[in-house]
Amino acid sequence: MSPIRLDMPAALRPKRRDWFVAFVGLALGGLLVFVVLDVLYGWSPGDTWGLIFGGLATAVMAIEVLYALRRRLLLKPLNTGQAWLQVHVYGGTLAALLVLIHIGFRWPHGLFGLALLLLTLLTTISGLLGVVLQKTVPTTLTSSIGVEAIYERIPEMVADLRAQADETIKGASDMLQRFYGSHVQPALAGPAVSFAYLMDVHTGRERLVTDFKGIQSFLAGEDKTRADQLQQLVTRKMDLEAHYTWQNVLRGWLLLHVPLAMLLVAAIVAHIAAVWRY
Amino acid sequence: MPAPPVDLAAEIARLKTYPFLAPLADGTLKRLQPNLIERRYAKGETILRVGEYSDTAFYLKDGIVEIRMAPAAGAENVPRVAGARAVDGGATVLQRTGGQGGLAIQAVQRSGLSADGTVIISDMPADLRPGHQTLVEPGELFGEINALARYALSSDVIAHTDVVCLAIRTPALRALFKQPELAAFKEQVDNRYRQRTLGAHLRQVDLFAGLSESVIEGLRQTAELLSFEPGAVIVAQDAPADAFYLVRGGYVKVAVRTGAHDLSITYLRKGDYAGEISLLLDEPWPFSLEALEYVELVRIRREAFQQVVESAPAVEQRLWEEVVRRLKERGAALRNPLASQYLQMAMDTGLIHGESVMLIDMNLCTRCDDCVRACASTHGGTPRFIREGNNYRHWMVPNACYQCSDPACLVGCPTGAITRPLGTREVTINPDVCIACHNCSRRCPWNNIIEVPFYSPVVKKEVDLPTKCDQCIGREDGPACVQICPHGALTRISFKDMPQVVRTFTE
Repeated sequence: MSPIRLDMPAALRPKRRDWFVAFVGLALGGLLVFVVLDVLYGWSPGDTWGLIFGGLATAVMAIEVLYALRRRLLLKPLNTGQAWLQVHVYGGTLAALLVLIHIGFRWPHGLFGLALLLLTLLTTISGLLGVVLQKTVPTTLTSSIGVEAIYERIPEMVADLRAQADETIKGASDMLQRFYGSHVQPALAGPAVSFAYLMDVHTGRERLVTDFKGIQSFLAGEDKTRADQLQQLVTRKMDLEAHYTWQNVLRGWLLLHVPLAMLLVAAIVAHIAAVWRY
Repeated sequence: MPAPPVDLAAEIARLKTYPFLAPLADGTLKRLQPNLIERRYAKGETILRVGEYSDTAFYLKDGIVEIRMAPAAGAENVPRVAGARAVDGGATVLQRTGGQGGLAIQAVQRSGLSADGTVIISDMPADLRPGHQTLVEPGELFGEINALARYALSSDVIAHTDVVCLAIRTPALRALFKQPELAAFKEQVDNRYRQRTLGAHLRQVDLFAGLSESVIEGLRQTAELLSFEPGAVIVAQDAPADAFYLVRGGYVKVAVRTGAHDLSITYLRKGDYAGEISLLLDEPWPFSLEALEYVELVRIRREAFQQVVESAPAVEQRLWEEVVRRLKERGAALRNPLASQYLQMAMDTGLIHGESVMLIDMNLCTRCDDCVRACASTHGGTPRFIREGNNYRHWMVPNACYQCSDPACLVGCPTGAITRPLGTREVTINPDVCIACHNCSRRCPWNNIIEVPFYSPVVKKEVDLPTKCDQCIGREDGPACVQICPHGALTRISFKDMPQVVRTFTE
């Protein structure tokens, strides 16, 4: 009998099976310790075991902070960037679980404790959102969009397309000139981040084709060629804009994750100081 | 200031003073003249440097040149080119060369030469030992093997006295060898290759490494040296089995006909061979051979090949193994023609030259540019590659140096700033020596040498200095770009290992 195989969606499939197994092992071990102790003796964050789990969570989060320093190449390279990221992802998730064990899976007392818990959960969730994005967006960019571009160069590339379009339209008939002003120039503006590309990377294509088809029937001779060239330029611009939008998403989630993580670090420091002091 | 006009008549008259060019018609010389340049070197001046790749052969007209081989102090100092066998150093020897002039070069110091103590320098008209030097007299041709077959120079060539020589650039050299009037000259050059290099070349091919001297000698005597232009069919599929071919320079496509098209199976490069299948099985050629660029081959006739097989059972065994491997390769290509597209792509784009080509898996790459930042931080703030390039399926081949097996960029550097130490893979540019002449960046067929503003200590001003990926040479953890990528999207691959390439692209 062949073994049952569970197929996970690509976005959730672990890149390194050994890391995943280690993570699950540690998580289950922690939970087991918690359940046994909670049943036998009850659980409080201030108890020995509660403090141990709190300390462990803090230690893991300290390692998480090192990843940021590592990404900025402030640390001497140790092992590979991929290993560091794996530690960051699994470590972050584990730290959140350790925090939950530390508080005994109960709502903390007081506003600060609640804020600390929320920050922990939001930071972890935003991090996991990043993992999913990093696993899915590159494939979308590669398989669905016909161009590849360096993010910082996209505005320059779009400007270049505009210049090419301006050159193409020279000497065109009034009809095409008017169409250029009303349809092509606005379509070549930007690039701008558009939510529509997140829904469908090819958004706007059908309308573009319809518009150009419509004008083609009124054109003759060289204008037909010009219109074809303009359509190609606009199509390319749409590809670049879709790339721009998705690359913004890839960069943008960090604007959520990093401030939350920084707040969390500050809150943890305050929490430890308060526990130490009182 | 524009160059002064060339007095063609005077130039042709001057070329005719070279005995070997004398039989040529004026029209031929007029055509070749731009690539035939008389050069003068002062005593002590370096003509060719060890490790360099050169596109020029030199015919020595006046004076004496000295060929120096690096001392065999350590393996890293010993040139590792076809024909060079490293032995211990010894006394300095100036010995006789058997060149066209036929005059003896006096021995200045001679001691300790044993029967096996002489290193055959494949590319020079002399036998040398590491740490020794040889004087070459007028009438000799040197550097032609490097120019034709793109071997790195095995030794320094220095003007021993004031020297006049004719620099013959590769296109002219190829054209000269095709002139019927120079058949004797070509024969002489070929003979010298047979005498000095072919034996060593054969020994460098794993297959022949264990052959006895007498068998090697037999092969040397009968081998033919052939040249082919790009696109030339060397052997057609189904042609009768008549010879064994050994590649001594260039790239050869191996293809099998399927319908109206040729399907690429593999390619051959320096040191590779073909023909054993049809000779051993006594069958027509199961595939064709086609020159992808200028190709230099050694052709061993059927009879000589049979002698080798009969005299060396181990060779026959190896050949049979090779037959099985090649037929498997052919079968795999026919069964899965789509896999062949990557081989064809590699041949069409020149990637087959790449010893270490950077590939980025765009399905994993999050465009974070950590690789570029890592490169910049390893190289003083300036990245050595651009994360742009051609895409094949989901793989990008960015504009980063391929570390070619025959680096065109190394040819003709006036200061020797761009180098690849013999036996290593990384081509590097020394900014302290570079004068930013852009010779290397112009020669790179793949535009993988980028120019960045730099204050040059040589010309003492800011120049656009050519820079290139050096694979972070000397860095313990290897190339920083590969190490730093958080998603494992970056890899380096040698296009020598075609099965690995196909696996990578089809995974």
